[in-house]
This record gives sequence, C-alpha cells and structure tokens, in this order.
Amino acid sequence: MISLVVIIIGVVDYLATGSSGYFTVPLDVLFKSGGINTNVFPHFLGTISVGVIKLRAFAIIELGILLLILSPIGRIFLQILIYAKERDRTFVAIASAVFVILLISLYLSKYIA
Amino acid sequence: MLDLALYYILLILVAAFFAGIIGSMAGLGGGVLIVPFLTLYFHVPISLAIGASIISVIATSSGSASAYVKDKISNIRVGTFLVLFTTSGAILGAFLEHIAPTRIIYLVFGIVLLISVMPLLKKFGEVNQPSSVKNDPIAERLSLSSHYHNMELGEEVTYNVAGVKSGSAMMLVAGILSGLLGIGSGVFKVIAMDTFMKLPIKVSTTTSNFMIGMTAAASAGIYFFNGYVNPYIAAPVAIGVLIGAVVGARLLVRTKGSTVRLVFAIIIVVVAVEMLLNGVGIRL
Repeated sequence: MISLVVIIIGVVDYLATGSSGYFTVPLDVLFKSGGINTNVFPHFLGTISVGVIKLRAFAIIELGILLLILSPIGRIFLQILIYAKERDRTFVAIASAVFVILLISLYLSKYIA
Repeated sequence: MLDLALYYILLILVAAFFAGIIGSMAGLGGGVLIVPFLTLYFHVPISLAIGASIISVIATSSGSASAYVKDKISNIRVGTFLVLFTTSGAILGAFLEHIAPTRIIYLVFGIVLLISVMPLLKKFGEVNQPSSVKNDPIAERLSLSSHYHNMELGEEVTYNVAGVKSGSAMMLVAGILSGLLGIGSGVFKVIAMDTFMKLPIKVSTTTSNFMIGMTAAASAGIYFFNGYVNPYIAAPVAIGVLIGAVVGARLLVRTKGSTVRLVFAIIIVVVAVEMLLNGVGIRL
C-alpha cells in the first residue's frame, strides 16, 4: 500500500512540475527503439536513489514500483518467521528456499538481457 | 510535449481500467488483458507491455493480500510449498521472453487466453468429494491436509491433498506462463490444485491468490532492472487495473447469472483470436 502511495506521489509530482526529471523522448520514437532508453527513466538502485533525492518524478514512480515488487518478498520473509516460531523446520526450509529464489531473481536480472 | 504525453497516459489509464473490469468480471485476474490492449491498440513493444502488466498483477494481488490471511480458507502450507515451483518457473519464463521471437509470444498468449476462458464455460470442482481423496505420501510428510469452514454446508470440511508431483509440475508451467506473458496465471494455478491435487475449489482459488504476488515478483524484478518497466506505461496501468479490478469485483457480486460472464468471456475470445492472428502476422 505504501508503494502505491509513492507511485501516486510520483505521478502528482510529474503533473505538477510538468517534467519527468529526465530526458523527454516522444513515445513513438521510444517504442521504435524497442522501449529501452536509460536516459528516459532510471531503473537501477543508484540512479533511482539519486533521482529520488532530487525529487525527480520518474525516480519516485520507479521507487514506488520497486517497493511494490519487494512487498511479496517481504511477505515470504514474514512466513519464514511464522514457521520459525512454530518450530516447523521443514517449512522454515521451504519458505527460505522461496525467499532465496526471489533474491536470485533480482540478482539474475543482470544476466538476462 | 507534456500535453501529448499526458493525453497518452490518460488513454492508457482508461484502457487499463476497462481491462481490469473485463478481466475481473470474467473471473480472471485484472491483468490478463493488459498486454493485448497495450500491444494491439497502443502499439507498445511487447516487452514493455509485459513489464507494465506484471507490475499491475502485483498491485492487484496485494490489494487482496490481507484477504487470504483473514479468510482461513487458503492453505498457506500448500501455497508456500507450491510457490517454490511457480517462482522458479517465472524466472525461466522471463528468460524465455527475452530469447523467444515476438511472434511466438503472441501465439502463446492467444492460446493461454483461450484456455483461460474454458473454465467459464465448464465449471470447476462440482464433483469434488473431499472425503474420497487419498493423501499423497509427500502431502503426508509435509502435513498439507487441512480443513476449512464451508459456508454453504455450514460445517467444517476436512480434506486431503493428492497428486503433489503432477500439481507441482503444473505449477512450474503456471510460473513459466506468468514470467513469459506478464500475467498472474491464476487459472493455471487453480487447475493444478483443483484438477491434479483434488483440493476443494474454494481452497484452490484462495490459495492461488496467496501465490500470485510472489510468482509475479520473481519475474517483475527481472523486467524492472532491465528497464522494461517504463513509468509512462506502468504507472497508469497499475492504477487503472487496480481500480478496474475493484470495480469489476463489486459488480460481479451484484450481477447474478452466467450470461454477463459469458459476454465477457466472448470479449476475451475475440482478443485471444486477435493475438493469434498477430502471431501469424495478420494485423487487423
């Protein structure tokens, strides 16, 4: 829910300032180039955090989206704690494995594409 | 410059809103129609459409996230175990999306949409007899069997869990489709639990809700860090689908009778055919 609030703050910032905080590329040009253009919006931890400090609209939106992606990962972490409290070793192991798979997916993203 | 972009963002917001309504009214997730809408009608590159769609899947699933904790119907143990397979599959699916030709993705999408509307025509789980299901040895070891309060019968129903291996294999497929197409693939998760593992339908659907967010997160990170989650598209899509799905769910409760659902199912079939045609190179 916090993540959605952050996204909306970013959208409001964009509408209020009239600027994404990044280079503006016409969308049809962007689409023709396959949609990937790092100057248009940040999508790495470093560039996002710099952009958020400078209150750039698209950095705030991307931060919100990143928080949204992380929330199910937080949810499975919570599940590990619940099983640990129940002293259910097997399910601590299973939930931890899911947690690790999700962390690996974040790490692997560098190598895919 | 902003004016044109703003107009475009507004259009996507409205389209996402209707996609959310149609998807949820048809009993599928709000996210299933996002990729077809964005690619067919907005000419968004498919990877960008999938990146936006998978974010909307997490957004809509976390909206109902608090529901499965309270409902006491979902089987969290079964969900936690099976999410192992859906998340692994989702990573594989995101990888396949990267290497597969666009044509193939359109074709798979069309086929998946057609399979997804089939349950609307033929109801699931009507012959489920929880008492006659024998426990799978794996289910025994993991103590997956449980019970829930059946509102219609007004009594506690105890159930066992069968076919863990085939169910897990099906979950891997559901995960791959989720990562490949940017959908929640709830229908395939329900098929795995209902048809293969013989879980009561109520348990299958609620447990599927528990799993969708985690499955989507596994591929969403990959799309995000590769720059396929563009704020221009992802922000209006996430907000539009979320509102549309909530409105759709409200309307669904009020509308009785299957004719309404049938109308929405037909819309989805039309979209599916359009995706298939696109896959073979015919643009309408």
